Amino acid sequence: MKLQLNMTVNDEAVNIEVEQDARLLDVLRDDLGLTGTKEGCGVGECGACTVIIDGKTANSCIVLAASMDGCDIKTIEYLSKDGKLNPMQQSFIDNSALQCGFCTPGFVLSGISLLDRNPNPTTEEIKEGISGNICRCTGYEQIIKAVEDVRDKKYVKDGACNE
Amino acid sequence: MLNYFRPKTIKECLEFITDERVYIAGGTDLMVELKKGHDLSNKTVIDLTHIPELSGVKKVYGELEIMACTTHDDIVLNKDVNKCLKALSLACRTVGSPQIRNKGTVGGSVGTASPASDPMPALMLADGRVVIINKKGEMREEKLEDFIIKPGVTTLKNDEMILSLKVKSLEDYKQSFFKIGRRKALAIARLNFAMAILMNNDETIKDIRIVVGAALPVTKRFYDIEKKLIGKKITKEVIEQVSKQISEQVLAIAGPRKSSEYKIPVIRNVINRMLKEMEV
Amino acid sequence: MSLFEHNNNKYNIVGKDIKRVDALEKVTGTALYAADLYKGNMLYGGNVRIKEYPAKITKIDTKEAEAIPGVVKIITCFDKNAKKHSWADYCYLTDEVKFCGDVVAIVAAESKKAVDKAIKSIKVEYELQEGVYTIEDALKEDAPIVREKGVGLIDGIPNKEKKGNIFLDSYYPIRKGNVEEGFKKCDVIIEREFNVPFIDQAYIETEACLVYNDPKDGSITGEASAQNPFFTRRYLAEASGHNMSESRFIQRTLGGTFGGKEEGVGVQIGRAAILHKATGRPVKMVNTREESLMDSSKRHAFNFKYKIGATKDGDILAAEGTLVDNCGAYNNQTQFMNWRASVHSVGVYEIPNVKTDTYGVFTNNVHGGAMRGYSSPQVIFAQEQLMNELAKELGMDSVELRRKNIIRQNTRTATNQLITEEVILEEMMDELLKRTDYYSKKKEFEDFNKKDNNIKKGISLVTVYRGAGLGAEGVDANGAFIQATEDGSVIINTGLAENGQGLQTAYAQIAAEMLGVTMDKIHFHSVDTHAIADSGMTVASRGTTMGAQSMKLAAEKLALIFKEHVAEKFGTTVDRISCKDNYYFDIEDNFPANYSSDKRIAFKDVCNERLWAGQQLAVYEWFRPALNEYDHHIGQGKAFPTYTYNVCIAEVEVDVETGDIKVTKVTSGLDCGRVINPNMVKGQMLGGIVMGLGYAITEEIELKKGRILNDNFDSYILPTSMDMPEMDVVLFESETKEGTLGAKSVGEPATEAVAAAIAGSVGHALNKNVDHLPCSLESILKYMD
Ligand code: FES
Ligand code: FES
Repeated sequence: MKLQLNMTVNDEAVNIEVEQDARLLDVLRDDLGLTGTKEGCGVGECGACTVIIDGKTANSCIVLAASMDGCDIKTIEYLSKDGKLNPMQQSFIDNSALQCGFCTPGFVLSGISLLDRNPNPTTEEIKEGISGNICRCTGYEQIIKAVEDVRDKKYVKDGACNE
Repeated sequence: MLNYFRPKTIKECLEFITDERVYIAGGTDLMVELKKGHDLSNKTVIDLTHIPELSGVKKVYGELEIMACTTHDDIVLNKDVNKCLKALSLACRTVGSPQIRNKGTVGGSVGTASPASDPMPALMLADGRVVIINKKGEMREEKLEDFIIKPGVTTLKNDEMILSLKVKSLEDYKQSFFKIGRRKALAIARLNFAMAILMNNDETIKDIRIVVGAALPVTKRFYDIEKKLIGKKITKEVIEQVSKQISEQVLAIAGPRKSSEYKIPVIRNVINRMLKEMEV
Repeated sequence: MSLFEHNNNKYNIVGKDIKRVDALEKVTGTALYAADLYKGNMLYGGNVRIKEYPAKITKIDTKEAEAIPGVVKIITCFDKNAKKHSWADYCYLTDEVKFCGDVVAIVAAESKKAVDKAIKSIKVEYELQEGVYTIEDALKEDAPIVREKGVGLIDGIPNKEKKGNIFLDSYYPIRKGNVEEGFKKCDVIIEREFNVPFIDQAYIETEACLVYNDPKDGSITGEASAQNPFFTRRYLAEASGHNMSESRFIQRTLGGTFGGKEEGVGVQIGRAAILHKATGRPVKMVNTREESLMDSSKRHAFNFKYKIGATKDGDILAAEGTLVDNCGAYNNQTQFMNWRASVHSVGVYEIPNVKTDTYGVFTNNVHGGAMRGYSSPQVIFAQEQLMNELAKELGMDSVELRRKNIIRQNTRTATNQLITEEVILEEMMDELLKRTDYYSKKKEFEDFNKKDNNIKKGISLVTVYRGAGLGAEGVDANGAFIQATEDGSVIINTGLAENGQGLQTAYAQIAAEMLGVTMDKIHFHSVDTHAIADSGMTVASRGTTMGAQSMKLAAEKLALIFKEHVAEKFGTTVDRISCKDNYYFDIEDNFPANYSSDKRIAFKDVCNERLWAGQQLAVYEWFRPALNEYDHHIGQGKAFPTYTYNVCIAEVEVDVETGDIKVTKVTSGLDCGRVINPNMVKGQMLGGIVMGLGYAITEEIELKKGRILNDNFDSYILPTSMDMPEMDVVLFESETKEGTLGAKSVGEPATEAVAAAIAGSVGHALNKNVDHLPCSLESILKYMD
């Protein structure tokens, strides 16, 4: 039996039928074509599937799609919707904060969400803030630096560099 | 085929309860179960995450009532919990990751009865009780120790649901929480500990509470040992004695398994250390 | 030697912090990984496995599964038409299950859900057989035989006259000098044994592929997250029964590989091809993490037995060792990997008498394969703890023992190779000792540890070297294609793959440098086997050091052709023509300070002129290095054209009451020859450190009768951002004539020494010999017993 689901995804109203036991991750990827959200483990342990639900990060692999009715969901695709990069994305590029890139969408969203909550985190707080995202390539250092640069306002909103 | 329901109020929720009901409180555990092949077909899945009444913390008469669907993150940020049951804030902060803390709830953590639950030792520390409501709207309360039977099994009946957790305010107590995991985040407790202590003016113990989790199938509070400590001073000997007794009790219950080789000496070491820190 | 500095560089683009060419699509989430591919009418594929091994399958009942709505095709190991054994050692389908990854049936269905359901409803009957799982058991006289081709030991040496579990092709001896005589002259001789477990590459993207028919060229086409495109094509062609020329493989963005996306992806694409052939529809297969852990190759588990002797002054005179690895049930890697292990079996030390035997044994486990370092992390762990133990026994400082014995220019390695190039290892050691304030910290830690603390601190230095590229393991040949287009942009293409390590960027930098154009003009075409010739594998950190040779040659040649063109126009000679920032100019005109438009000509104009004049705009070049003289029977000769050197210092705090280890700092110095892109080299180094930390402390595939107990990231523990140490990465440049523009390997050296250094510092903190990995909570408590 399918279920009718109304949610907002990246500022657009989405009206879709889903299986009752579908995962949000699969609905985003398979039904909505938002493949920037990745699957690494399927059990909430890697953060590759991170999305922002009602302002807070969540692992979409362990979110029941059905429970998203009425929710506001933002994925990596949201950030450059207008064709411009979000400062966090620019900072990831500038700091070489990615290699294979598979973890990157998740990290970018965790970074943004962390700064939304705490605009002035210490390095330790940044480490904690991204600790639900596993990166096997970079060793985290350059990712942390990327978040620090955004915290330090090296970027203005349209993605251009301040300095 | 699974049947999914999403009530908006507790009253509505009770109407959906059937014998085959499964709750989603944050979903962090349930969804993993589902992936691991747990069969949910023919079950009634009741999603509790959209019931405003089921979330939040109330402070009443020296007690906190933590509603079942309060997330770990809400607890970390909650001022009352921070003030009255610091150990719980500390514990919730060590749960999984930011993403998990945003979704996972205390009620879920209690309901799944995982032996490695992080909030559990802190809840038991404060005489935690589970408030339960049944389909008819009847309420009952049960001590956490009694509520949890073994891993994954509680006394919750098919027509019941967890409404909230009540804990005593330990505002005046010195509290601590300690967790050992294989890494610093996203860690499942290899062992976890909660402790609270209240001293008399003459530096004798007025009240002490000690809980060890992940060592036994059910998180354990050491009432008998606590009782004997009242009126005593925290001396080196006392510390040695208590940590020895606790580790011996755990060994007696757990038996000489492979994991005991590690856990027993470590329990002793950590209790010892936590007591020392309580002293200063 | 020199510490790498940004300004000490004669190039415009090489050696600079150029941004990754693939960064934009990765930060926006638009990069397409294999699992992101969808095709109309596409089916999903899935695998049926059993939970005990080894076993003989007797019956598979698919009736119930076939009735599930959406299930389109089920092929079992009893199906006569399906290809079962692959050209490599692995099976697409088998009725003789030897390990947890073996597949007995495959399913194609309209949805993932239907696939899952079908897998659950297929009933497999089997007879369980007696298995063997550990190295120790596999070597027992009466052990069950895992593979027909296994041999036994005669006088401690693998010999095909006897049946057993040893994989003969993976046996490599080293015989240098005379160890008996050597030991006689030693004042101190020690013997130690070490063990390391299997670990997983644990790339975050699991293996995925899509196979379909491309009617345009009548080919079967496969797209996947594969590290070795041409190897993958071989599986695709074989399983589908097509000619290679009709089988096309396109590489998709790889979400990490570290050596792991080789045979596993090959077998997966083969299975998808079988399903595609049977259904005529596109088939997509994506491994779950559990499947990835079961099916993909692991870093080999090893057992080491070493004996080493030195004079009382610390001159090492003899070393002997038996290095045995667990191959698992199938293998087409151990024979290469063990050669490398044998070459490096006694470390970066000049030892006159060496006798080591390296071989693998078959067991009913998941197979060992490549993982970043290709046997070195294991060997270095054991070898370097051995050095620490020897120093302890000699009463000598462990750094001084190393200093005394390390390989220098004009000394000979274990394979008796004379090192003729500059070796800067000692200078690197000194620089790192200084940077970390090693000796005062060591003293401070030792004093601290005398007190009654629950924390013990340790520090340790390891020195290593690594043969760059394939060496005598294979031919390091490669080809590259470069093509200029009329608007002045350039397409480059090679058979080697971007694995996330930054190969595209490095190649683009080399091409841009050679041509004199800016980076934005270069477009890297990722591998499509129909568009470029086979260049072998992107392995052994050879991507830049060796693989880029052909790219450099091709770009150089195109640059020359273009310069000739310009020289003719300017009425001058080629040697006076240069190109920078997309403009050709006469070097005597001092461009760009003093140019006028008639004195320069744009790169794009040259392209355009040549196009319409029907002149050459593209070059394909092939590079094949000189073959090394090497005698595999005694392991003597020139093993590698050049070596990368690495010094690593780790500092730890161990809580002896809980077993918890905090790695406080890792300082890693690497001689990378020439640095092509400093930021990317650093990124590799930093990532390598954290990966090494996982190997040192948390990572281990837990096996029970061949079954993997920790089959997802909740129990297979990777380091998080909260576990990372403070890191200091130091790059050194040395002169080498080998390697593209003098570049050496980076990817693997970045990680191979780290676990050894961490284990050494744990050993220092506890004053114990750390004889196995990982240094888990439990093992620390045991050391303290
Ligand atoms: S895929 Fe969701 S956390 Fe790993
Ligand atoms: S960049 Fe590869 S996992 Fe993070």
